[in-house]
Amino acid sequence: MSGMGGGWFDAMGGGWFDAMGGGWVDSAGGGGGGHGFAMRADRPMAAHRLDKINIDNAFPAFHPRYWDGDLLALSYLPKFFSFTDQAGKTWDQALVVDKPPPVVRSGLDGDSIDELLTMAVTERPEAMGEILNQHQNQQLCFLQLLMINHNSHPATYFAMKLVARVGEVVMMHFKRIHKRARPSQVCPTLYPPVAVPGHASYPAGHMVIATLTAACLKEITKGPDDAPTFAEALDLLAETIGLNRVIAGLHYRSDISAGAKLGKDTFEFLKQIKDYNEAIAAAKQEWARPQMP
Amino acid sequence: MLIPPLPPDHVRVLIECNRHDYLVNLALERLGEASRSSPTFEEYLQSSFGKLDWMHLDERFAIPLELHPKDSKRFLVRGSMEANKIRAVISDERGGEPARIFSDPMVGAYRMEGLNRPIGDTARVRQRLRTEALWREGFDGSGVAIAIVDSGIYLPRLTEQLGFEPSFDRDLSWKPDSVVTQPGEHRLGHGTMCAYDALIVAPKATLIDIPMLISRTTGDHRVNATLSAAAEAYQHLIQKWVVGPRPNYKRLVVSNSWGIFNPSLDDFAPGHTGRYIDNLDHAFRTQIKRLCEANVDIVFCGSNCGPECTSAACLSQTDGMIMGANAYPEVLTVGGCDTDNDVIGYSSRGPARTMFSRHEVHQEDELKKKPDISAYTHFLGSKTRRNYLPDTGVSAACPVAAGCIAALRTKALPEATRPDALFSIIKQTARGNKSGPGGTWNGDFGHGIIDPVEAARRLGLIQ
Repeated sequence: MSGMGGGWFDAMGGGWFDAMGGGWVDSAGGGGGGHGFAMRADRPMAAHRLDKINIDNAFPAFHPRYWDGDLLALSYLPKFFSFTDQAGKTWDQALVVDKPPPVVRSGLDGDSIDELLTMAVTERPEAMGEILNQHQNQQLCFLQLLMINHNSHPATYFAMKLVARVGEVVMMHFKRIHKRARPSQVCPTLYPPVAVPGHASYPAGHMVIATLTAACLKEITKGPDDAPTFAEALDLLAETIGLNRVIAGLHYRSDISAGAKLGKDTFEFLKQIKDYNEAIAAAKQEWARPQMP
Repeated sequence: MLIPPLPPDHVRVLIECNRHDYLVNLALERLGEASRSSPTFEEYLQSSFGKLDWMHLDERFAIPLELHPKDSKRFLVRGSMEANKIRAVISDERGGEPARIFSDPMVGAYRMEGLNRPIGDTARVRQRLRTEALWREGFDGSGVAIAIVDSGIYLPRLTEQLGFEPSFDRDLSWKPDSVVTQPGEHRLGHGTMCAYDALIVAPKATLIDIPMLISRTTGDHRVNATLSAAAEAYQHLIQKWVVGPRPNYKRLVVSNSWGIFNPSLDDFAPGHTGRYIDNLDHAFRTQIKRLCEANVDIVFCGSNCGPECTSAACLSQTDGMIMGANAYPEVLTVGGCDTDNDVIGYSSRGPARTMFSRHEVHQEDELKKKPDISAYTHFLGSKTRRNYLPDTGVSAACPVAAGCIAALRTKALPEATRPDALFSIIKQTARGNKSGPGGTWNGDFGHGIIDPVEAARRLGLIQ
């Protein structure tokens, strides 16, 4: 976790910690950094002379494994912003999110408040564990599903960071366009069990990033014969993450479906960009299937 | 292929389709009579529906509308479609007759949460229902099967709580494909409560576990269960009880402590022929009628939308909240009262929702007289939630009444062979209280509180 860039937080508010997107962390400190280290004053390590160190042959560059994925992913963003696809469109021209349907009390002519109220009563108690688990750092669920971490699969981990950063950008772009109020603003008795995020409802950011992550991981984890090994499970996880945001009263159904579509479209756009494609290709190497000894 | 997640402009539907070898094979496979080899689902879609991107079908769901798949010309399949296509005429086989479409709304257990003071206990319920007198005469449910259509039974807890091991039929039990736990081993909860309450009066009845409320369709995880899960469960009962060799039981009683929570969950517009909540022509009623014709007693709870203590799932609506299958004329609808013989605040009051039919003529006033009777709830019984929490909701009242019926069915009832005849006697002999005399309908208790001893006496089975 980097406290230096866009993901900084303080204890009071403002830009505080909502690790839905690129600033997500895991307990092993995969977001970069990690523990702090102290040096005692009476026997400082710095006093130990390393006479044999050969400065000329010292590590010639900052090894890839040391890079903070969050910050490194930011350096890819300019490529994303400036890329034009075959139709000559930049991302904000190529990606489209239609206007959301109206909010209605009940019925099929829009997003139904009654349906959300019913789900809050009937589904939320059972879903609460998942809702809390996925509210922040939903990516940990994907890591858990694939049984990986930033040490075992650093390139895959970095690809997840890459798409999360892009996901943040595109979801905020379209949220700013549509400015849809949250369901709990329309109907406060929905009373979401977690803090209502400080951005508009449509499209659902969790769903954009979950779909984007699932799409990316599906691509990365394809078997040697391009068999979609984890495809069903990854899709199901993304769908569940989106659904739980509805059960929590944070989103309408159309927020989720628009988020899913945007996530898929964004990944298709990303695949056309050389730098992103190379990162995904590098991650794929980690999923070659060696014979176990 | 899985059913894709339900898009916001789609609704869940049950579609009546023409016979097709794929559907026949699928239904036969369910019966264990065939293996599905050809045609494939894709071939079926291509030949029957062509390219319809506004509709999705569940490749694993086919219910024959005649008794046996081989004889059936029409099948019920499950799927979703764009809402604005509901009114469109669908030809499920090119040039064939238009298919009928039915609502497949979310349903769930009629549980009540957050109420923790029991009024009486199991012993008090038995005392009120005079079970000693019933059992002395041999009305204990022996040889009678009770199907608990709910969230599944956990037998070890049931045994512990009852103090004896109940009779249980694994072979007649069923579970949805998506459920991995086996009959009698499902997660402790609402279904176990219902099973316990059914055995309060009929301890020697045999339980059949039908956990349709945990079916959670693969691919559509939005809800626990929809009506199609109930249709699948009932199809199992029809196959086992009506189509196949008759199981070795005197009678079957089906207890249903579930329903639709509020009217807004029915996606179909008022007046549509496929609507669920107020439509006697819905396909699910066909299944109810099939079992009734085979002399199966079907008991449904009312609902928990009573005016004093409405369940949150009712969304503050209290009028006409007994609806859908819970209000069908073929079933015995049960409201709730406490062991002090007072109506329980959350028990929905009658009259029921006004039902319509394009094919049948009914006396509207008679149809709306639901609940039919009341039974005890809100007592310390199964302790499936906490040791101090009561069995609550009309959910508990329903199996108590089903147990009374199972007890009565222990002995031959020549004058009341048909379910409607027995239900009529149960209504006539129901006990009155301060809301009104027994045997006369009122909105609080129906015809009164169920009294199995008096019913047996009216039938001449005990003195």
